[in-house]
Amino acid sequence: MSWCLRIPEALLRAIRADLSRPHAFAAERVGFVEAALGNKDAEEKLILASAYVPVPDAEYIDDPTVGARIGGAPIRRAVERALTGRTGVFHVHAHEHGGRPRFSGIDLTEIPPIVRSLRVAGRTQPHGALLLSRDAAAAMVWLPGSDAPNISGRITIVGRPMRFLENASDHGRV
Amino acid sequence: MDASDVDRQGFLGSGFALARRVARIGAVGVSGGGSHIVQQLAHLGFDRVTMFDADVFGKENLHRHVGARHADIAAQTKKVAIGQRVYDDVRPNAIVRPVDKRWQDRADLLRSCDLVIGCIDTFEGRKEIETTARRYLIPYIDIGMDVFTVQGAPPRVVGQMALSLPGGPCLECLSVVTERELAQEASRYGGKVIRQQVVNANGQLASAAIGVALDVLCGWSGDLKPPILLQYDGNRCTIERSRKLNGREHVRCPHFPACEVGDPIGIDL
Repeated sequence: MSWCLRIPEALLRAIRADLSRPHAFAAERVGFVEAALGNKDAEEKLILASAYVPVPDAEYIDDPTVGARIGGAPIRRAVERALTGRTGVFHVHAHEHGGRPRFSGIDLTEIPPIVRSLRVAGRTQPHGALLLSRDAAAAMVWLPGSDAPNISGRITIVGRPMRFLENASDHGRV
Repeated sequence: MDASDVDRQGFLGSGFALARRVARIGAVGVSGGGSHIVQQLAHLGFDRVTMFDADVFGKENLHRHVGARHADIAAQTKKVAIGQRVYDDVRPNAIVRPVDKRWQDRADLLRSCDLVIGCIDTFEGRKEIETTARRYLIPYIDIGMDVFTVQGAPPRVVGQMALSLPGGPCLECLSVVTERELAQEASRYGGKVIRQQVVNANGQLASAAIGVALDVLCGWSGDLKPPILLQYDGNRCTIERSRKLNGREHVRCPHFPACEVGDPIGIDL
């Protein structure tokens, strides 16, 4: 079972614009991308990004041990959106470098519990995390019914020009 | 892939080299203009192509179906089988999926495509493909042509090539598919639409569509900016930016909201 995450170029621009804004004390920003499941009966599932929900400045917690820590309210709102069953929710943040980004140890510790809450709330939609760099992206994706992230996937930026990324290996840039 | 293949198309850039290898291209309707699309995709070297056409080749297609043979009439060869034969002759290692059904019968395969090119006769058919393409975030390129006759004047050969890019103006925004045309078509009560076609006009429109497809896939031209609607004048052999675009360059499409993506979800009442 594999997946293809499709993100409209305009949406990606909006995400990047928000995540690159400086914050009063947080070293980086986070947000949530809404994305719906498509082609659910095919071998390759589609994950179709439709909206971006930023985290308001006031909902960051001042914690110098991590790039960004957010309070419970934005996570609760994300879980509420997942609860509708109409959309999956992906935690998104950016690492400010070029080339394919990798989730850090802190990311791999802190993000899966958030995704677990999303998966419990919305079992019929995909959930996960999206990580952007200046010109590439990587994702952790839990498809409906999967207890572990599905590794095999690709990311397509839909616009002009299109961009094609294999999640498992780096041969494309966004 | 032969190295000379790459060299001679090298100006298209590294984005093209990647797209050619990984992009899944869908071609709906592979007779007429669609047969040119298939032929050019093969020569360009796209490795993953899915063709949809439920029809069987007949003598009425011979004048406009590139790659067809006279023997295909008697053999009643499926049109997608001709497309596959053309592809196999040029790119024997490509992954070609010929679907000899309506695309709606294998909509999963259409949805899996990264870009779809439609060469079909009906407005309703265009609208159906575009609706699916929008729902699954797939750029859709549409071509169509027709011949109009007015008493006392030479026939007019006209056509269009439109790009429907998710987030941008759709075929309705661009007046390619209008309520009036849909109503006229529906009033034929299912009667088959038979449009006049000629191979050279099909070829010119298909070439324009492939040019735009290449630009969408790898952005090589640097200055072909959406929205894209080209109008074809077969009498003057010209293809130019449509006047319908004037004032519509920055239209926000009201017909396909960004939130309406993915498999439809049933709601309990």
